[in-house]
Order: sequence, then C-alpha cells, then structure tokens
Amino acid sequence: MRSPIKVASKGGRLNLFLLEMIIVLLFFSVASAVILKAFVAADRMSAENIRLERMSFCAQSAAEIFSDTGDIAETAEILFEIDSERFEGATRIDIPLDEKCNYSYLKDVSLFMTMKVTESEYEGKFKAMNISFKDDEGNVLYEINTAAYVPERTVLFDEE
Amino acid sequence: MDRPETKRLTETISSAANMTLFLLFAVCCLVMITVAATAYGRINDNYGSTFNSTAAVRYITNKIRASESAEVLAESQLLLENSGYCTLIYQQDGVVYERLFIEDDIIIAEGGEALFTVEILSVKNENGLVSVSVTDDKGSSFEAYCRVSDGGDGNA
Amino acid sequence: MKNKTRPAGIGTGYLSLMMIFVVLCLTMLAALSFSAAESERKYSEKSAEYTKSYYDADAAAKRTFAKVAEIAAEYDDYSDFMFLGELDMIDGVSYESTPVGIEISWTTPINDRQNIYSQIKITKSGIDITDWRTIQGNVPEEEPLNVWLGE
Repeated sequence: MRSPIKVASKGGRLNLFLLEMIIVLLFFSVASAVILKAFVAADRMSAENIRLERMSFCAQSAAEIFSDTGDIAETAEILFEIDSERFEGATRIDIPLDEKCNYSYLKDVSLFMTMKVTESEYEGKFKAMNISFKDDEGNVLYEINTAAYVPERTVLFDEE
Repeated sequence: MDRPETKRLTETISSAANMTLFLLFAVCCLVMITVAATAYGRINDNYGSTFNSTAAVRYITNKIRASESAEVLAESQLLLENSGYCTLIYQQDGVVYERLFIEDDIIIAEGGEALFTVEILSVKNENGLVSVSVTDDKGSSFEAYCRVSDGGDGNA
Repeated sequence: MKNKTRPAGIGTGYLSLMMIFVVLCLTMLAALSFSAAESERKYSEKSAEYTKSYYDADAAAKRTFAKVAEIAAEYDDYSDFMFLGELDMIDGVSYESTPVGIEISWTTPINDRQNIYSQIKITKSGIDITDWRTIQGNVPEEEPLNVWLGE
C-alpha cells in the first residue's frame, strides 16, 4: 500500500507551482486593482486640471470683455458668438459648455457657465458681475467676481 | 500506470503546461508594464504640453497687464511698451521668444530669449481686446482675452 | 541515477520574483503619474487663484474709479477744496492738480507682492484712464530697466 504522503511528494513539483501561481495571481490582482485605481485617479486629476485651466481662461476672457462692454449679453456674444438679442436686458445668463469651454447645445455639455450681475450702481454705469462654472450636479467648480465701470464720455465744457 | 514511458510523458506534459502558464503570466506582466508606461507617458506629456501652453498664455496676458500699452505687430508678434523700454514677444519655429529693446530702437524679431515651446501663437487685437491663443503640438489650444490698458475710452 | 533526474520545468520562487518586480514597476509608474498630476493640480490651482485675486482687485479698483468719477461729475472746478476734500475721504487715493485738470491715482493690492496701479486724468473734456496696470510693490518704476544690448 502506498503512503498518501509519497503520492503528494511525487506530484509535489506541479502542485507547488500551481499553488504559487494561485497565490501570485491573487496578490497580483489585488495589487493591480490598487495600482489601476491610482492611474485612474491621476488621469482624472489631469483632466480636471486642464478643465480648471480652461475655466480660468474663459472666466478671464469674460471678465475682460465685460470690463469693456459693461453688458453681459454683449459679453456672451463676443465670447461665444451667441446672438445678444436673446439676452437683451438680462441680468443672468446660463451658458452650457463642453469640456473645452466652448458653447454647446449638444449632448457633450459637461459644464454650465453662469454670468450674473450682482450689483448695479451710479445709474447702471458701475456693474459687478459673478462668473461661476458648475458641473452637471450643480457643484461650483470655479468662480470669480469682476466689475465694469462704463461712464458716458460726457463733455462738461467745450473741448480745449 | 507506473511505466517509465507514461511517467515521462506525464512529466513532459506537466512541464509544458507549467512553462505555458509561466509564459502567459510573463506576457501579461509585460503587457501591464507597457500599458502603465504608456499611461504615465500620456499623463506626463499632457502635463508638459498643458504647462507650456497655459504658462505661455498667462505669461503674455500678465505682461500685457503690466505694460503701459500693447501693439500687435503681426499674428505672432506682440510689442509691449513701457517707459524707456519695450518688450517684443514673438514666436518662431515652435518657440516663443522675448526680447527687450530700448526706446526708439529698431524692433526685429530675432535673438530673443526662448521662453516656451508651443506650436502656434496667435495674437489679435479686436477693438482694444487682445486675444492670445496658443496651440500645442497635440493640437489643443488655450485662449484668453486681455484688455490693453490705454484703451482711452474711459471705460474700466 | 535516472530516478533522481527531475523533469524540466519552472522552479518555485520565479513567479513570486517576477510578480514583485512587476508590482514594483507598476507602483513606481503609478506614483510618478500621480506626482505629475499633483504638481499640475498645484500649478493650475495657483494660477486659477491668482486670476481670482486679480479680478477681485480689479473690481475694487473700478469701484474706486466709479466713486472718483461720480464725485468729479458734480464739479466743474477740479481745484475746488470741496472736491479735493471729497477725494481725501476715499481710501488710498492721491491726486495732483495740473493746469488743465487733475491727475488722480490709487493702488489696489492683488496679493502680497503685486498691486494694480490706476491713474486717471480728469479734464474739462472728460475722464481718461492714463494708466491701469499691474505693478510690483506700491509705486510704478520711474527708472527704465537697464536693458542689455548684447555688446
């Protein structure tokens, strides 16, 4: 009669290899999952950084144009080529944007830019504006405050 | 069952199977390392090109804000004037250069200091608003507007 | 002798060694990717924060401009002590009378190092912005830069 130990020893080489393979695969899958998560996080962070840069430039452009015009409808027209008549007299404009901060009305909308006049003084010559960017869920991703002072170029007396 | 030929055959098949599994594992590992290296390369490249492009746009717009006046000489040449000196920012062969000139000097887009590597630099003056647009080698572009300080229209 | 010969195959430990090497490689690459993304995030956040500070300061400077301009609109004579008295009440505003009107300037801080320097000229023909720029410190540099001419 053969001893079971002997049988195990006889096929031990294969068994040991398989056992090692199983342990290695188990550990490897756990490690890979963690590492993959880190890669995905890094990739997402990289995409978010580019988005933040784009939002920052978009906000800067809007603020500069608003400083020049003092009107949010005109700002939207110059920046996104949206017909300003649609927003005539508006004090708040919500613009859907794609991930590159271009005006979009298609399915690729991932951001909403809101330009809102928060203050108007001196008969509307001074206006403060808040520019904010929100994601689909309404979380504010970035915002700045700016202002414009657009006086009429009044001539008090005859020019010298 | 215990005939030597059968035993040898079993051992050969077993070794071949082991070897195949090992090779399969090695190939998988190699593929994973390649994929990871590619992902790292992509993230790093993105970082490099985004940094170059955004830094170029920011640098130029900040320079415009800090100068007394700005004049667009050509599509990729911007002259920033200050009291006593002026700065020419221009792009040549995929590089953005900057060169200082004293007042009344002849402005030439040569011999400047290299600042950023960008594929295209486009500067336009649109009614007192300077548009600075930079495109990197991957084709993605960043654009920002900046007002020239001597608009002279009394608006702020 | 023949019985002692072991079949050709993979010895134990090679797989573990290979796995350790691969996991180390992947971890290193993941850490490098994360580090690149993290430094990019810091840079982007700093830049975005600077943009925000700049426009906060710019808005404050424009508010001062609006105040000054609205006061000036009520006067014809810019050397009137009532007008100058009202200007004195605005924080950080300094002025200098000129033969044709008045030059008014003020600085608005962006951060610890930078300010927006604003200067306007009010004459009978209207208001002109003569200077509106970012400066290092509180006062714009009077002296031009010593430009190296490459000689």
